[in-house]
Amino acid sequence: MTELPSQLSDLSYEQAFNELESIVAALEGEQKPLDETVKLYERGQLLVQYCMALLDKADLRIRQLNPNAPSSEENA
Amino acid sequence: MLQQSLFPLPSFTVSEITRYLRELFESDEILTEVWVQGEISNLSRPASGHIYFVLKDQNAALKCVIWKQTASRLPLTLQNGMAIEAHGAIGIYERDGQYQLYADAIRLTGEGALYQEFLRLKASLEAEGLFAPERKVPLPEMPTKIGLVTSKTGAALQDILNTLKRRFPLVEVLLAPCAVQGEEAPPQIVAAINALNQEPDIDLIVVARGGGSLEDLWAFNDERVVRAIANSSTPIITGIGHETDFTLADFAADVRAATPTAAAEMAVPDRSELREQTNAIGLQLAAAWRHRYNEERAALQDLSRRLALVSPVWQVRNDRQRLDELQGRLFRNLLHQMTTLRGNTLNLSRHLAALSPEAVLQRGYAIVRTTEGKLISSVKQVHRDDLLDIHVSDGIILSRVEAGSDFKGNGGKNL
Repeated sequence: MTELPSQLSDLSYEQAFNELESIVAALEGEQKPLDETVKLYERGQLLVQYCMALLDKADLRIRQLNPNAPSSEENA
Repeated sequence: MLQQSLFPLPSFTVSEITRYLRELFESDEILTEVWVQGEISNLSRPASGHIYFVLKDQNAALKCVIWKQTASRLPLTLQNGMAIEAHGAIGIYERDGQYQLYADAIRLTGEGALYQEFLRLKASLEAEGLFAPERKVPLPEMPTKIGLVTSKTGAALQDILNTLKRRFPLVEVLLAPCAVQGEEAPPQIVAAINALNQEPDIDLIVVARGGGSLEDLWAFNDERVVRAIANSSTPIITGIGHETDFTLADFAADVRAATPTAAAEMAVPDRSELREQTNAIGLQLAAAWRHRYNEERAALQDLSRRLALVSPVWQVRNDRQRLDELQGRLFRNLLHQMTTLRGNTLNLSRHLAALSPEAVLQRGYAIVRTTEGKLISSVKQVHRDDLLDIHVSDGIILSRVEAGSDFKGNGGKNL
């Protein structure tokens, strides 16, 4: 996800989607100053792309819980 | 020796006493419906399709018959030495004077006892409220970390991982491996569930095992396992066995899925559905923006129209039009004057023409010149025999001077 803005890549899919929902709600709700609207719209566009990228590129991560040994990465 | 009685006992034929016994058997509450356990021996399947065998234990034997119709519906293939429980009625085969079990159902020994235990424990835990709907916790819509309690080597693990990969690979799976059958299974399952509950950020636990016999799945009916599931603070989905298998773990879980794969499907949303959802909200976003944009544009256009109305440009346009009008009037004025001047000039030129020498000649006057072209306006300019040109309206008359007025005696004719 290096090609995405750093502040976005910290978000989980759910966080990104929730933010996207609240942005749309804000844009559809009470009118805001135009520059704020533009910023929200641009942020929303980024979030849509980010969510899509997450869905397209994600790989399942698997870790094993083992109290007797250090956790090991496994690609099943 | 039997003594002769005053009231001798009635005597029966073999048939009569056999029928009597049969009726006795057939009216007995236990003998008409009973489960009998033992080991199969002397198994025979003649061409008739009926099955005959002897059920025996260390001390006794019981002849058994399974009629053809029942035999074809048996869930298992009978073999000598198999420990089974046969269900049916004990009756008498009159011809041989033989009592036997007419079996209509067969199950493996142990299943019955297990099932009884299952029902007993289920009733007890149910009474305790462990399965109550109000205990159920809703599953998270979009988990990020899923705990997985299953065998590391089982098919269930692969089914679940494949399903997660296909549907929603945005999760992290934390596998807590454990035995899923045998004596050691229940404590290991409990430990796995508890360990996952200790982990931070686990949104959901899936407890799974592939299909098997009732005995294979028995660990999931263990009271310790059922309690661990019921007490888990993290929501639990069970996917144990096949569609038809119900374990007590299923009743205690927040959600019961029919199979491990189904459990994985219920655990996470579907990627393609999420894509559609994201698409839809993206369109909503664009629509919200467009709406605002159009509004702003309309407001701007309105303002711009109003501005134009009050702008100096408008004034200048007004002035320019006025100027145009004035210019037009000026031009028309000028034109008029010119026409007048032209008329005057024409008149003058006519007057002038009337005064020209030619016009005078027309009226009968003549111009006299010397042949050198000098105008003659006095008699003193000519002498006798001078040649003169006399210009009249249509030509020149060449003439010779005979006499002038100062020429005495020549009469006097003045020009």
